[in-house]
Amino acid sequence: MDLELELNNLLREIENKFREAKTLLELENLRIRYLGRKSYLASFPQIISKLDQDQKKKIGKIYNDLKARIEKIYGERKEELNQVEVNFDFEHPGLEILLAKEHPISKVRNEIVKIFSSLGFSVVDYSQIVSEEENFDYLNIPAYHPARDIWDTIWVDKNGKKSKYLFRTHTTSFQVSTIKKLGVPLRAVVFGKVFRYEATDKTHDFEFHQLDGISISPSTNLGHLRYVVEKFFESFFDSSKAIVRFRPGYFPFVEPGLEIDIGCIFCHGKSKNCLICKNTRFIEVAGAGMIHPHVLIRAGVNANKYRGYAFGFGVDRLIMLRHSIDDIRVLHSADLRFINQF
Amino acid sequence: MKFRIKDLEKYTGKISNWQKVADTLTLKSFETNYTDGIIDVDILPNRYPDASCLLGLANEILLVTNKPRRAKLEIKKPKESKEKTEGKLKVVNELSDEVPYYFGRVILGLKNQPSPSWLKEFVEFYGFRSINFLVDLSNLVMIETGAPLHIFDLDKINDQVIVRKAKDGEKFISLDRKVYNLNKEDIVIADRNKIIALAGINGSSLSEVDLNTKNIFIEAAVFSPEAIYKTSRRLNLKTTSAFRFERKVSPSRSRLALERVTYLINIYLGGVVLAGIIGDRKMPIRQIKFDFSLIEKISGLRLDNKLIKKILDSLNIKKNGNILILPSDRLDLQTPEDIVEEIIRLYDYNKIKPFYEYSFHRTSIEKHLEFNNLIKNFFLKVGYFEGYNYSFFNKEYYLLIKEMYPSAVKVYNPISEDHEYFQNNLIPSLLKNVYLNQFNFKKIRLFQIDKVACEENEKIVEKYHLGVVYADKDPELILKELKGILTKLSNEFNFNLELVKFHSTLFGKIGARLRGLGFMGVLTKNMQEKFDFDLNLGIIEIDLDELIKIVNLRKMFQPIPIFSVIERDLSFFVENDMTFSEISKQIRKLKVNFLKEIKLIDIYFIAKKSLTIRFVFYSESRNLTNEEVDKEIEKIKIYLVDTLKVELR
Ligand SMILES: [Zn+2]
Repeated sequence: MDLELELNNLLREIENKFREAKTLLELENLRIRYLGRKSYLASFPQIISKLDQDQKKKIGKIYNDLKARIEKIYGERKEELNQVEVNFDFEHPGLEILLAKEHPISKVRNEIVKIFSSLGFSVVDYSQIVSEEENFDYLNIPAYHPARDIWDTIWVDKNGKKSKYLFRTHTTSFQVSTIKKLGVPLRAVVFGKVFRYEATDKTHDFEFHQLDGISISPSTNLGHLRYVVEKFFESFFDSSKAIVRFRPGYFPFVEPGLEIDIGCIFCHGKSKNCLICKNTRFIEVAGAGMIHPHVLIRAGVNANKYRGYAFGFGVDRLIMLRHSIDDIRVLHSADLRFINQF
Repeated sequence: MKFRIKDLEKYTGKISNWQKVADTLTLKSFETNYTDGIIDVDILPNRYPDASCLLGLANEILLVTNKPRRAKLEIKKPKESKEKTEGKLKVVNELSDEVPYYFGRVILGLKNQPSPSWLKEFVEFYGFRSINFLVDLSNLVMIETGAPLHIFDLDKINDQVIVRKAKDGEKFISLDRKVYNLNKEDIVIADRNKIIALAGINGSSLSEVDLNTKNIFIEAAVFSPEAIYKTSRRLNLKTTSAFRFERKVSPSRSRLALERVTYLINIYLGGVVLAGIIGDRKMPIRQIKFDFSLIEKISGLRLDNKLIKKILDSLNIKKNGNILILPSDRLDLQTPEDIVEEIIRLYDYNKIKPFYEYSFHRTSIEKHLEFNNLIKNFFLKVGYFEGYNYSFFNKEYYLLIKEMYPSAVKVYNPISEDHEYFQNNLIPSLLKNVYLNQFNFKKIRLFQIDKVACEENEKIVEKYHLGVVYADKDPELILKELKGILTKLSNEFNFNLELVKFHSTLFGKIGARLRGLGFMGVLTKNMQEKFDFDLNLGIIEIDLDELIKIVNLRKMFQPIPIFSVIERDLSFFVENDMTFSEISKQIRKLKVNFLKEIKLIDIYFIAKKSLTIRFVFYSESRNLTNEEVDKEIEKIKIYLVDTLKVELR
């Protein structure tokens, strides 16, 4: 009976010691002392082997139970000591993390620039305040021509009079100077603000953003334009295949002139009452065409040898379409509650 | 432009599916909508001469729907009297350049009357007020042919008709009996003593036809689009007739209109048509040389010769070798490119296949755009949101910031008083952005990069600016953060930053000039009140076009220390006018061993100015001992206390 009592006392002692251990190291030392090769418990099977059959069976069982129990207590305590001391409920939302955001317009500008770079276009910058010639005359829009009325112009003041400078009404004004500066062959896009003397509403603002592109080479044709336009819209709207439609259009600086539509990205031509395409299945997104020979000649390019295409997008409208923004004035704001969403 | 399909069907014949016609027109010609017996067509501006009328649009519809038929107007040559038109009325055209065609007819002894209801209804649908039979018929023919006409009461014309320039200060009385002051650029139709019409724009009440009119002179002319545009804009007299002349009128259509209206007047109102058309002559044949390979060069489409011939035939373009003879009313067809456009739009724009054109030259992104992006990323990393701005501000802002940014570009016709100046700095926009957000956020960190403009030596110069704003409660915290950002910026982009105190209306004394680059400061209380801010605002404005010149983006590797670096901080009180830069200059002159760097850690004020300076010791050959460093620090302490008279803390 002594052995049994001894074992039970030992159990209580080990249990207490293990619970009192404060660090993993202390616990490890206790383990070596009580469970190690040289411990009393380790020598116990020898004691048991000397007992008679009945006792052997009885004490053997107590010993095995005890050993299992101690190892369990040890494991539990080790697990406990391994934890960092903290109370944390994983339902806690976490701290509010501030992540600074770029404005969606500048974000999209970089996206667009990347797409066009990958299509072999250089990215250039151009003045926002340009001469009347750059904005109109060079682009085949002479003075006293009704085509000028398409663009209601904001002019620079010169001593109380209208000067010959204006706030560009379209990024197309970059064409002649850029071609002159960089020479041909050339592929380039320009991005930036344009200005119109126009009332503001949900879809119109007097300042907005355009992207204009040109590609000039001895072999450029409308098929190349179609490729670039398709690839651009596939990337921009993240779709595997963009449906692009050409229609006749009129811009004095291109001939032939085109309007470019893309298949409705909302209803994909399937809705009976789509607010975006108004059931026409298409959305008008760009103007384009082959650069008018007059423009090429004005830029000093041999128009018999070189041809080029040009295109222009209203960028704000594309962003609004992609992100379902229904008011351009929201897009043109610095409201952090807006910027934070992108 | 809206047209009734019942009017168009007189030329096209019955059409069963107008929706389909509208869709085809949209794809091949003009954006078109169809609803309830009316089509609304967005005629392209260069197609006005031929297509902005029933005849022309009907023809376009027949063309795009592949009908062989062509639209025709019903005209019978009138039975002319023996009396010659020229004998009755002398017409002198002094302006053969600006008025290349001036056709006219005289009809005597007709009986004008109010319009019948069909005609009234017709002209009213097309946007005119019904006046009387004669006037309404001339408008009807304009809708049919696209060419404006004008009918004068012959008995109100004194002796002859003269097409001439107005004299400066000459008066014109319009049909509405308004008086306009003319100048020598305006083309007028006059008789011996008065102006009887402002050419191509409006008739005069002095020669208008009324219900008593018996004898008339009908004018059909082609006026210079530029002249009409100038006069109509200057006098702000915009009429349908002016609108059409500005977009060109075809001479053949003009003559057609004259014959059509003569025919209709004769039928409905009787009278005798005098013999001969004033100013009548043969129309020149318009032709161009056309290289057929241009079709493929422009479109990438290889079209069959038969198909090209079929399309040219349908357009009434006659081919004679490589010379094309153009229809007289298609004034938009001028260059070979125009012909290619016709052929491929009628074939099918959407059969053009996408095709990648290889490019062998390197593409690039303009350097300053990339730099702006680096700056943008820097500010995003330090936790600033990118704001947005409009480019114009008002005079008040301009004057307020004038002492920092004196030159700005003024707008001639601003959208409103709030947009009188193009921005020459971004501060107004930053203020607006903070104002917008202060009701929802207690800390606002924003930056912007945008173009500003100013005038330098009479030239407009555009630059990129960076504007940064931090709005919070504690101005000291704001200044420390902004200064920290500037220091980091100068480290990252490797440039020298020099701040000089700068007094201004905006910042008061708490402002500094960033030499050669811009400004920083905290808004005065006055300004906070003025703009209704609840928070303190710290602002930085930097000229990025200047910054890009002084930055060094290539970073050079600095060896990583092998031995331990020992740092010692000293804090002490100094006189208010003693600066860190002076102290560090003096200590550098001392022979202090192993001293590698002197850094200012903090400046604060507790009754007196207190500095904390860090001294960094390092040896390239071994680990220094604390005792060695203590010895060196002791030297510094002695110098600080004995020579600079600081009070160690
Ligand atoms: Zn849709």
